[in-house]
Amino acid sequence: MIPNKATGAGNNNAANVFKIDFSKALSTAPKLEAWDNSETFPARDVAGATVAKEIFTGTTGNSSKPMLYLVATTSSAPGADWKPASAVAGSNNPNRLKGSTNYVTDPTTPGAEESILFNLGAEVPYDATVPSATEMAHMIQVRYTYTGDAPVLTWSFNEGSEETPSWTEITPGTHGLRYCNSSTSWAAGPYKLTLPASSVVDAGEVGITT
Amino acid sequence: MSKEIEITCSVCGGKVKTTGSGDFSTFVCENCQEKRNLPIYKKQIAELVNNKSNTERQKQRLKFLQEKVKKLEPVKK
Repeated sequence: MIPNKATGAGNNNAANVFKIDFSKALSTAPKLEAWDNSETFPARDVAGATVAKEIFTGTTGNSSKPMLYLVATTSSAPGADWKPASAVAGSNNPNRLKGSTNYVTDPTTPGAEESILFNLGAEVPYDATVPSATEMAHMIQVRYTYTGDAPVLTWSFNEGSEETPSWTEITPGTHGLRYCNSSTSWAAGPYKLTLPASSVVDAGEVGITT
Repeated sequence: MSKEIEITCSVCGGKVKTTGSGDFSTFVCENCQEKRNLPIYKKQIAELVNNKSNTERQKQRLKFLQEKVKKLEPVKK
C-alpha cells in the first residue's frame, strides 16, 4: 500500500528495507548511487549527471557533507548505528552518497531472478535550506553491467517486518522517497522532517509516496 | 584500521587515496565532478539572485554557492 513507510529504513539494524530484483544475470556487482534530479517529481532524469543540490554539497553547518547514506545489506544486516560519519572516496559499504564520487558497491553479483538489498537514510543539518523542495530533489540510481539481453529491474520496499518481509513494488517515475519525522502518519501526511535548532537530525522514518 | 589504497579517476586519470572497498572503475574525483556541477551552480545562483523574496536560508545558500564558484573559477589577472 502506497503511501507507507519502509520498515527499518534509516540508521537501524535492518537488512530487509529496499530490494531490487534482476530478471537476468549481471556481469559485475551493481553500484548504488544518488544524483540530482533536475525534473519536477514525479518526473525524473534518465540518468544522473550532476550532484549540485544541497543534499549533496551539504552546508556550512554539516561541513559540506553529503546528507544521504546507504548500506548494501544483501549479504548481512548492517548492525546498529551503521551511518558513516563522512563520505569515503569512491566505493565503500556503507557510504555517504554523491554520484560517482561516493557510492556503494553491492557485495554480490546477482544471477537471473536474484536480488540485492539495501537500507537508506538521510542526515540533515540545522541550516539546510527551507523550503527544501528543489535543494533535496534527488534520484537513487543502480549502475550495472550485463551481456546479452538487458535485465528487467523491479524495485520494492518492505511493508512487513524485518523477520517476515512483505515486498511492495515501487514504480520509478510514479513513486518517490520521503525522509520524515518518526511517527509520521503515512496514510494522511504531512510528510515532514523537522530541522533541529543546531547540529543535525536523522530522518526517523523513510517511506514511499506518490 | 582500514588499509589505504590508491584509486584512479575515470575522467582525468588522477590518483586519490581511499580506505574504501568495492568497484572503483567508474570513480569520478571531486574536481572532475565539480566541473560538471559548475553550470548548475551558476543556474542556482542566478535563480537566487533574481528571487527578491529569499528566505534567510536561501540567502545563506546563495553565499555558499558563490564561494564554491569563486573557488572553481578563480578571477583571471
